[in-house]
Amino acid sequence: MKVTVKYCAQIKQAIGIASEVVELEGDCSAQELITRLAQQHGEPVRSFLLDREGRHRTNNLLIVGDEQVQWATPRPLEDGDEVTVLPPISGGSLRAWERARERVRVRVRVRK
Amino acid sequence: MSLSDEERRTYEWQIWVPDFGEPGQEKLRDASVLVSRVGGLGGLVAYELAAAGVGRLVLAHAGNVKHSDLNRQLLMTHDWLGKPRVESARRRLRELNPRLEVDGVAENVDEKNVARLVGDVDLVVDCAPLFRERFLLNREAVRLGKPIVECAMYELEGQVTTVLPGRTPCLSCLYPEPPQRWKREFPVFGAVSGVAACIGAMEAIKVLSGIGEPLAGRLLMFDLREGRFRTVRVGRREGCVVCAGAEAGTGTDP
Repeated sequence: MKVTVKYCAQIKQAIGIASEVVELEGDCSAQELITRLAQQHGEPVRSFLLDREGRHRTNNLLIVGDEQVQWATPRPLEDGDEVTVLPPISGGSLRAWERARERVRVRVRVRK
Repeated sequence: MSLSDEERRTYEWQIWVPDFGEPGQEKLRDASVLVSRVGGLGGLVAYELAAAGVGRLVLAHAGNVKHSDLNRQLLMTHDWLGKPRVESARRRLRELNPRLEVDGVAENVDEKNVARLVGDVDLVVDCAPLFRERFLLNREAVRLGKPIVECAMYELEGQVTTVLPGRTPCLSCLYPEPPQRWKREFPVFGAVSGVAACIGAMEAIKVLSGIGEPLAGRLLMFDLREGRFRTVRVGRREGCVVCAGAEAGTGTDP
């Protein structure tokens, strides 16, 4: 079967494409598909989709068709399905000190 | 209290909207809205709500106007560089609508002020950039049973959804934890934040006046690069630490 995968916002930027058509053999859930795609595309896409232990990052919204799918509930895919992965986005306007503080936090995390 | 002659003249064109009318206008005039941050998103939300005749706006935003605000933050002006943002916002809003009551709070939402800010209004529009602020607003709005409109943007994309506590997923249902890789500075056009803001403002108007169908349990997503809009159904998350026990029916009833 063939399914279309759409990427949004930061994931789209990381992967460099807005969508792709994936051909799947046999049964596959939307969640399994995301794991496969994360492994296939490698970094930095993998880190957007999976944590270090290989679990799905549940802060991304997983959508099949026009319906959100809960990460904990496997959603079997069917031929022609459209899967969308939507990372969290937010508002704008930060003050300089907040950005500086965030950079410090990032450095601290890296040193650990 | 019925509308004054000046209010009738000012809002005539929207009073003509079916199902809205003078009762809808009176509801807006008697309503109060918290807009968290008045940057590219929140500034436009506040501007539209002021234009529509919402009676009272509470604006929460720390800091001073700087050059990089001016590509999208339409309540900020060049002559106000280096001065407090909320003052610039208040000045612009009052120029548009002198009847508007504006409480400008030169603070961002935090643990100390969130109960006071959310408790003081009928509805919240969340336009904050930091997820810790957004989660605080969400938690407090759910606790008090107040509707909260969530607006977000990235590059040429945006999203809007409306949380009705106890009836729809809340922000923590959608995002159980703060995102790991949220990049705090990101590319965006003012016109993109403006689109998300106008949709968010319309959501607030709908919920406050009771017209139409808010984006309750639905997430509107748009990508202006492709000129595409779509709406997807989103659901409550079992075991959500914020809204699992929330009951519907409190706060503003759409």
